[in-house]
Amino acid sequence: MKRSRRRVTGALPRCVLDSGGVTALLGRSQSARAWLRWLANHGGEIVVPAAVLSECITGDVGRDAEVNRILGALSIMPTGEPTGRLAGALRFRAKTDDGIDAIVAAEAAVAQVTTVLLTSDPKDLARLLSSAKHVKIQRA
Amino acid sequence: MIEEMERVTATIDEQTLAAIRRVAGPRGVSSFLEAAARERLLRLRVLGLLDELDAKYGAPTMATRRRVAKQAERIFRSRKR
Repeated sequence: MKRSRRRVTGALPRCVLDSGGVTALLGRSQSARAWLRWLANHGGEIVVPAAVLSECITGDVGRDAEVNRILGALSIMPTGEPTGRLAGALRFRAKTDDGIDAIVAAEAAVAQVTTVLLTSDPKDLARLLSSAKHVKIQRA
Repeated sequence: MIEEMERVTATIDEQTLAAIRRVAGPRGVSSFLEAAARERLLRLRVLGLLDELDAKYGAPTMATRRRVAKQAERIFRSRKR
């Protein structure tokens, strides 16, 4: 059977998840799971900035079991100095005080390739990323 | 952390091996293959997780999958092959 497949041109697809994007995978959002499957099927890179763990981990092994299962299958990205500096600049320009959102936004923007940011909070992240046209914010 | 390395023998068709050597250089074949295997394993891990989550919470509807694929293809400028 001849199958019609779609190929992504240029750089591989890239996706960054914030804490809303991670928790959306736990049942509430079919859309988040559909996004991840599309990305995995197209060789995409799926990144969770390490700072996001501060919003979705409780330290209680039982409570965290399901989130840990998800995190175990994704790439946790430690925040380096360039990303941290970019986060500071984005936060200052957007006049917000949410450091975690700023790190998520910076992680999405720092790679100069088209990146989808999966979030449950598109409005705040859109403020941070108003100048980063290569980052496309999608509701998880 | 120093990872232990092990030597294996693999069989690859000539054309593919030549293409790998072209992009990775004659001494870069092992690292190229290791990187490719890591990417493949990561992808399988994500797909396995999604299968589990879909079984538990219900798979996305065809309409959702189509909508996401359409958006993704527009964003990443894909084309049919």
